[in-house]
Formats: sequence, structure tokens, C-alpha cells
Amino acid sequence: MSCDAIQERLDERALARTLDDGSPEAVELGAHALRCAACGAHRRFLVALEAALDVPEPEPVAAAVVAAARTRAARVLRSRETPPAVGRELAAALGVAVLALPLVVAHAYLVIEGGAWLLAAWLPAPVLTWLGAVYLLSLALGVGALYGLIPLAVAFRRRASWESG
Amino acid sequence: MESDEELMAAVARGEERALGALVERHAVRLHAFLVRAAGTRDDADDLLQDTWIRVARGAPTFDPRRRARPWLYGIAANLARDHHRRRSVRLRAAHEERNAPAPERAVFRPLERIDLRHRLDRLPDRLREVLMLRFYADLDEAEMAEALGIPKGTVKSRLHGAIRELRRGWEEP
Repeated sequence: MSCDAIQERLDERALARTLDDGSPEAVELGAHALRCAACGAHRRFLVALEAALDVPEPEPVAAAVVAAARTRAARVLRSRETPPAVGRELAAALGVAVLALPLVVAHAYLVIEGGAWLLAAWLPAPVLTWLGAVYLLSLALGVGALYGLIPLAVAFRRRASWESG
Repeated sequence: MESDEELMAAVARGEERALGALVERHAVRLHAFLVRAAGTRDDADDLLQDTWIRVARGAPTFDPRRRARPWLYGIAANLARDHHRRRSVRLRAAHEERNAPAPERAVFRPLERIDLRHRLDRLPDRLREVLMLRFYADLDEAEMAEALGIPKGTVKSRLHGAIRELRRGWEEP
């Protein structure tokens, strides 16, 4: 067997924690490691690795932690059975948002009317129309994007509360 | 006594009794695994709760032909990996704030037990988690493959890759 193959076998045995289990293969690999510097160093590394990983068994988990885990998981299990009320939540959020819409429209009307009145003396009508159109388009895009985020925000909120159990 | 897989099927049907039985059966071992994977008991406590929440939520997607234990440890390992990643980012930020070399850039001292643990902490996640599952959850290669959703050959190569990575630059004391 080549040194590479031997080191691979040593790895396997270290992973199975049978580096020193006294089996014929372990003895044979150990004997080779004594004669071969490279395999010897590899075996010593594996022993050190096993020791580093061999941390003592932690204290058992507190009963209160287990009980809390069971309670929260059971709550998730129960909530899985009830149909999600996403429609109602979304409708409420959209309802609040729609209430703000008349304010946005009134604001846009005032800006356009006021702007036209102020600038009519200096700018030709086509330029005023173009400015008004650009303003309205920007406003529509902004409001559309904002309203489009509402379902995402509702979904995000539901997911966060679901994950927290 | 019902098997884990039978209990999982019952959880998928929404039976709280089965969920309680699974928690009772696995919580202690799972918590011990999480303490070692996450580093602190407090973090392990949180991760244990998150694991069972995910079990409750994911039970309907559990394939009854699979074994439940690897599936369970797969969830825990995923959560531990995310936790480890967040903790590494926080530690790196704290080191940078103090103008100290980040852990990844720090020069490792010759081998001591503590150094090897540190190096284990700094292994890439995909290598670190297979060692954790092997040593602390006692899963064999086939179970790890199920837990992580990767082929058995990949598990094997990751295990050897982890050992090679830890061995690199190792100096005997």
C-alpha cells in the first residue's frame, strides 16, 4: 500500500475513532507509521485532532429549554392547521394606503395648478405641459412602487412572526 | 415504541403528541451537538428551539422513506452553519474596529489543542459541518449525505478535505 493510501486509511480510522482500537489493521498501520516519517507525522496529527475534537460532553439541556422548544413548535404545528389570513391582513394594509391616495392626488393637483400659474408668464405652453406630464409620471411611478411594496411588507411581517413562533 | 419515522408521519398530520415524543427523544443529544457546533449554551438553546420550529413547519415535506434522524440533524446543522456565519461576520467586524488582524489573517501558533479548535472554527462551512456531524452527531457517511442533501462521495471528499485543510501548516509541538 502506498503512503497516500495508508494516510487515507488512517483518516478513515480517525473519523471512526478507531485509530487505536487494537484491530489488526490499526496495528499494521501503526507499525508503518513508526517506520515512515510522513505517515508517522500524519498519524500524530490525527491523534492531536481527535484530542482537540474530544471535548467533554456538555451539561444536559435544561428542562425549561426543552419545554419552551416543545411549546413553540407545537404552536407552529397548530398555526399550520388554521388557514392563513393573509387576504385580510393585506386588505387592511391596502385600505390604509388607499386612504392616503386623495391626499396625494390633491397635492399633485395643487403642484400642477400652482406651477402653471407661476410659470405661465415665462414658459411656453408646450414646455409647461411637458413639465406637468413628467411630474405626474414620476409621481405615478413613485406611488405605484410604494403600493407595490405593500404586499411584500405584509409577507415579510408574516414570515417574521411565523419564524419567531 | 414508535419509530422516529412513524412519529414524523404523525407530526405531518398535526399530532402534537408525536412532536412532544420526538422532542423528548432527541432534544438532549441535539442540544449537545448544537453546543459544540455553535460554541455556547445560550446559542445552542436558541438553535434548539429554532430546530424544532422548523421540524414542525417542515414535517409535511418530510419524505417517509427517509430516516428522520439525519433529516433532523440536517436542519440543526443548517441553523448552526448560519449561526456560525453570522458570528464570524460579527467577530471580523469587531476585530476590524479594534484595528486588530482579523482571525482569518492571524498567524497560527504551532499546534496546541486550542489552536486546532480555532482552526476548526475557521474551516469553510462545508468542511466544518461534516466534521461536526461525524464527531458530535455520530452520523455515518450515508446519514450525513441524507442530512446535507449531497452525494455520499461528496461527504467523503469533504471529510478528507477538512483533514487536509487542518493538516496544512500544522507543526508538531
